[in-house]
Amino acid sequence: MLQPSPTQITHLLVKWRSGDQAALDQLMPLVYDGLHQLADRYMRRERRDHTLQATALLHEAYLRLVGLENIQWQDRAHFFAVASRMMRRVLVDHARRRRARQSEGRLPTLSLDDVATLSQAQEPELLALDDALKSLESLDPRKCQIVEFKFFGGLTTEESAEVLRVSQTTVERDWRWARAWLFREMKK
Amino acid sequence: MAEHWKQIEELFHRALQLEPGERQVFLDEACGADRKLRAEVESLLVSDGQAEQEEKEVQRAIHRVAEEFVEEGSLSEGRRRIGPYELVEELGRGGMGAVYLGQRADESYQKQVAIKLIKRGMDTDEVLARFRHERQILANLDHPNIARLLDGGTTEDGLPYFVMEHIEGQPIDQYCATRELSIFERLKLFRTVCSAVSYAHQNLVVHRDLKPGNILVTADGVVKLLDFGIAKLLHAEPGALTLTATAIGLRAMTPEYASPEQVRGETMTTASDVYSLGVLLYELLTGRRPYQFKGSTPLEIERVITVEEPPKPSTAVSRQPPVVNGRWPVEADDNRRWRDGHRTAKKLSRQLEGDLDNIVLMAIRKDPQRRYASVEQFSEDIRRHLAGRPVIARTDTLGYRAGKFVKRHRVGVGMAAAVLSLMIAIGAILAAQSARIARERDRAVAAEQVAAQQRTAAESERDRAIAAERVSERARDAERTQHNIAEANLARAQEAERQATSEAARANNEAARARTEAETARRVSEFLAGLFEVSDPSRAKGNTITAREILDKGAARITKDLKGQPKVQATMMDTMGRVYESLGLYDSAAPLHDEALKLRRQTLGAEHVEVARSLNNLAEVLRRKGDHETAESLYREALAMQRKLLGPEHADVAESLDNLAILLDTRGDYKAAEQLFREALEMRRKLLGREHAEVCETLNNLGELLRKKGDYEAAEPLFRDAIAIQRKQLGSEDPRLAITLDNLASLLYSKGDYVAAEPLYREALGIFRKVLGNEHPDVAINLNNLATLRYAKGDYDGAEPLYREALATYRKLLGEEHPNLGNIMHNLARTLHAKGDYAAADPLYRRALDLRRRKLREGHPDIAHSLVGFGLFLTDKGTPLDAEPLLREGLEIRRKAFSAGDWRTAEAQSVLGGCLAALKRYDEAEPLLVESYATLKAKRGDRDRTTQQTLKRLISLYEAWGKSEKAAPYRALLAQSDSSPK
Repeated sequence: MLQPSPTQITHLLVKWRSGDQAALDQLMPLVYDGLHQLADRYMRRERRDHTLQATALLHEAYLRLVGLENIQWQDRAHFFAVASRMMRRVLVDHARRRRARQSEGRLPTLSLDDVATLSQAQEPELLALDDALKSLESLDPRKCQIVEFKFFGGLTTEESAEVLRVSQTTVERDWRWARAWLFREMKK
Repeated sequence: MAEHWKQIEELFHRALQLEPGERQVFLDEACGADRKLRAEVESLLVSDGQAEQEEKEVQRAIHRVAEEFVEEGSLSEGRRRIGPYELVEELGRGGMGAVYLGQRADESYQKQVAIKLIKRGMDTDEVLARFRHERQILANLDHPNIARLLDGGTTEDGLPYFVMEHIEGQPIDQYCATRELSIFERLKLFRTVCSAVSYAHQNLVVHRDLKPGNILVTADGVVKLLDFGIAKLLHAEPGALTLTATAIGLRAMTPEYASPEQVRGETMTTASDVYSLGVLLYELLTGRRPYQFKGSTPLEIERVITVEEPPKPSTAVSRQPPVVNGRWPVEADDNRRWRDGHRTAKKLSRQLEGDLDNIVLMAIRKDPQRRYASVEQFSEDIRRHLAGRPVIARTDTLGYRAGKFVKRHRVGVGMAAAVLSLMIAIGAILAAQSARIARERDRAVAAEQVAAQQRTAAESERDRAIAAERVSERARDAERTQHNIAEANLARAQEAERQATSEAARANNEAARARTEAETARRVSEFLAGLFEVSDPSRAKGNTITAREILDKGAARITKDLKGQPKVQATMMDTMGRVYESLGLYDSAAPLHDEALKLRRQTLGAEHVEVARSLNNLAEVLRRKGDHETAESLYREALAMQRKLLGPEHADVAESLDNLAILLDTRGDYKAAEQLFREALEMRRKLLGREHAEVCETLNNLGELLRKKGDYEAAEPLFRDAIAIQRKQLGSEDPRLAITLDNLASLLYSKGDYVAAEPLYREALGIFRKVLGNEHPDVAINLNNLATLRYAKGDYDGAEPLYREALATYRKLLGEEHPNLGNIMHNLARTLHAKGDYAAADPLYRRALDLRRRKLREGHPDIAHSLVGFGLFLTDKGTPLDAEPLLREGLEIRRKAFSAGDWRTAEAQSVLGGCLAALKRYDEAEPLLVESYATLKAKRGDRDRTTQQTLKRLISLYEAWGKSEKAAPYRALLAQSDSSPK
């Protein structure tokens, strides 16, 4: 499959930014496959020393995919908001596909399959987080944004404060509250 | 909501500013009566207390998913080709890579193949180098149950792939579950798996990754093993595994099937495959895996696999839930008719108890050296189990063999062998006890050590927690959470300490149990020693001790010396009872079996396989003693119990069917007996194979029944079959062979072939005397039969002493009331009658008839035997009027009991005809004699004694009637047959 072109993605990003929700649905599969292939390519390059952490590698791939230079962003906040949201969707999507595959039961000749004893237990956690985040967003979008930055965007408290133009104390307070609320929700 | 939301948030932050101790007061005041608000804030505070830890876990989960996402990039869904293969569809994905259905794009070769693509991270240079090296070896594995490795290579972007024969099938565990295969079928299927693995081992290929997902069964029931040697290619040495382990976590390993040496990263050998197969068999038989992993950390997995002892399969089925809920027929049984209502885990447990437990546990021993030496040996042991032979997987070998020995030698063993078997059985109980004691002791000691370690750990953790609490107390302004953590730690430490204490208590219990077992062993060995004290010359007063004395002494002391050990007592009584029985000492055997039955009912409950065994034992002795009615009800009770516990098809059930049929046969209910014999025969052939000694027993019994019914044509091949198998399987000196020889001889006798019959009787008698000694009921029966043969030949002087010896032996062993005594007395009476000693014959005839009438059911053919013989005697004696009603009754019984045209009915007709002729009722006598003669001539031939007697009666009839002309042709026939060479 061909790698999606940055312009195609940029075009959809712009449409989405201007309020076209359908653009996001077109965008996601492109980002998903694009990231997959880019990540694989990085992986091949990296695998001898294998230093780059997978999440960081994905961020890098995302930057490459979207082509930072091709788009005029209103502000940094918007860029990071989109990037974090994309990463969240990609990973949740992956976890969901994975779970769907597992729940299909054992496949006929899946003899190399040694379904993970470790990750299997973890993926629902990510899905539960996603669900809790959706509830949080409807109640308090800023707090949801802070959580996405932290978990999926790789931003520090300082960076988040800067991007959102609020004080670090506010980010800390919001984070602490959101964290307590989310984890309680996830246990329900 | 929004306002409420703000309020919650505000209270949350304000409470966080306070000490945990002050929060309650604050919330009381702030929330007032609003319980809902307060609950909301409180739950968030609790959540916040644990959030630090959980945040880390969520971060880890996100990283893991990201890693996976990146790794799977190499398997992205857009792939259309791999090497020269066109991909048809993706069949699945796993930790190692993806599996595709494909076909060659460049050739007319249309066959579909399975292609395994190894994902990025697994494609090290070593893997590729090894692959090239091993590929040829793997491609050469040519076995009908191994999926062929067809090809392999690397994709354009450098990923290795394997091309294999595409198999459409179900993993073996699912196959067994969906088809609800019986234990027997599962074992057979498993042996096929073994044969494939064994073949690969002979070709120096170890699978290393055997598990249900790698063992498929096609719709036609053909087993196919996948991925032979692939695991080795992927991580040959521990170093390679470590490398991949960082990339893919622990996903490459399937811990459930991994051997201890594998989780330790040591060399894997054929013994590792034996282990994995053992786990597989465990799962196929129980629906559970031997180990439960509480945590999924590599250390925990390693600990469980290398240290924990798995429960026995028979225990596992009643304790743990099955692997997959609802999919496993826990109640799977030895046949397809298992829906009959007795489907309990308990029953499955009983099927697994013993051999199968031992076989599985031997295969999954921790130490590779102590497992089966090869997959072939493993498979062979299962075969032996299926054939009812002793298996090698057994710690207490001695006891086990004794059990099988006594079972095999039930029919009768010689005095020496009987005592030997008794000694072996006693030794075995001892051996089993001491082995168990050693195990219990080891376990108790180990548990004590673990408990001690845990206590120490718990104590130091508690100390740490207390220290931490002090630190946090001193730094009151420091993070409040510290205090919470300290509290939690303290609680955890207290919990651990409590656990350690209960662990220690358990260890104490186990130690106590070990002490009890030791006490049992001491008592048994004292008991055994006591038995042999008589062999001390001073005590035995110079007399040679006999086996009988040892037995008597032992039997008398079981109750006293083994007090408080009811299970051991019952086992000893069972063994001794059977030894007495095999010695023909039924009066001594019966109370032992009776007592064993009571003990087993008390200790094991009303329904148990051992209770059924005792019922059978007791019934058999009672049958031999002649108490048919009680025996029948006991047999039926045992049979019903076994069917319920073991299912409708089981070797024990077949044995009970056979026993019950013998009883029905003895009681003269031939029709019911024949049906049961045939059922038992079919079951034994199916379960044990056609050439099994127990099959011969039923062949013999059925043959004997058919002989008694007069169906010689059907009976003879059964006996001959049985003899051929017995000579092959048992050698030439086994009492079971002697019994069949005896019966074949009786058949030949019944057919009138005295010449062929005699050597068979003699061979049987030789074996009996050698193995059983002279005083044994079977010897008496043989003597009777040989005497009868002599009588038939007219050798009355030769017959009489044999009958007298048989009679004396029987009376001595079985008293005056045994129905068989009637046969011997009647035969002796007949001989004396033939010799002309009417005075001696008369009372014997009468006593025989009287005994048979009392002991046998109405209409029993043996009663007819007495009636016809005595009737003839009375006619000869000159009192035909007394004879007539007896003869009519006898004829009637035979007509009913035997099929039309039977020679014995003809014989009764002939004797009655003679009687009527003596009463001068010639017109009544004539048709009887004519019909009788025709039948006898056809069935027995001209030269037969009874045929000739009938001819003589016909001639006398016509002479007395004054119709000499009618007598003439018969006279000619008589002269002709007399002069023909014998």
